Amino acid sequence: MTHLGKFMLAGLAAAALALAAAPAAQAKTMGPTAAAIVGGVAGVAVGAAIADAAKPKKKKIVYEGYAPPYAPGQYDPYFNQAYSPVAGVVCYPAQRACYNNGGTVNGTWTRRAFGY
Amino acid sequence: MSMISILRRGAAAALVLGLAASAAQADAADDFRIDDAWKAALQDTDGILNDKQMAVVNSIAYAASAALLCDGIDIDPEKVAVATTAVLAETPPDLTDEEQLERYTNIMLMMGTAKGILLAEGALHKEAFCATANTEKADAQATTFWK
Repeated sequence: MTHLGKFMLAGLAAAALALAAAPAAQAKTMGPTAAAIVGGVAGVAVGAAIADAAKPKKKKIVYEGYAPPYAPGQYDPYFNQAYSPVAGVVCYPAQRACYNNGGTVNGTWTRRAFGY
Repeated sequence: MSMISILRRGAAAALVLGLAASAAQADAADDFRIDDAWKAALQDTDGILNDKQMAVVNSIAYAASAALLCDGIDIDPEKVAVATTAVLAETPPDLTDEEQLERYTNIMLMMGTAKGILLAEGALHKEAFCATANTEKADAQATTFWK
């Protein structure tokens, strides 16, 4: 990984922390200079990513070995797939998340079903 | 009443009963997921993350949502940092700096979007959402992103 790549990784990991944690933790993990630099570099990318989301992308960067699980234009049947690993729980493969029937996210089954 | 009339009435009654049963089943089984929001958010992102990575991103987003909505639940910054760095660092080979930045940016947007949708799902059913989160937090066997 290049120096720029490492810098981006460090900056965006800090941004992720800020996304998940409270504002107080955010202030401790990223100083104003670092935040400004990361913000400047990432701002351009965020604008491009949001714009690309509205139209078909030229090239999507996917993980190694990825094989699309649905044919072009056939996302809906894939998205609508669901299964129940145990009574009272439903898992959605396209979302990689599980929910309780009649309820909210089931974190335990999300982890079990999708492998971490 | 003719035989045809009897059959028509019977079929209509069966249809009404069947629809009522289906509706009841759907009501009983449906969850808090905002399906259309997830579909819109996910349909152009499939493949950016593998199953495990995407489940991690969803779980961090869920933990963050619960921490914002529910009393007594706080994010563990160390756990989030370790898990996020692992997802970001596992890149496809031979990416340029520009492509790496694009990938990182997309992942951060995915996490933020997931957090937003889960916040909405939780806020619409806050009592049940927080009860489930607190149950998971109290489970010694559960792996969470909370303190």
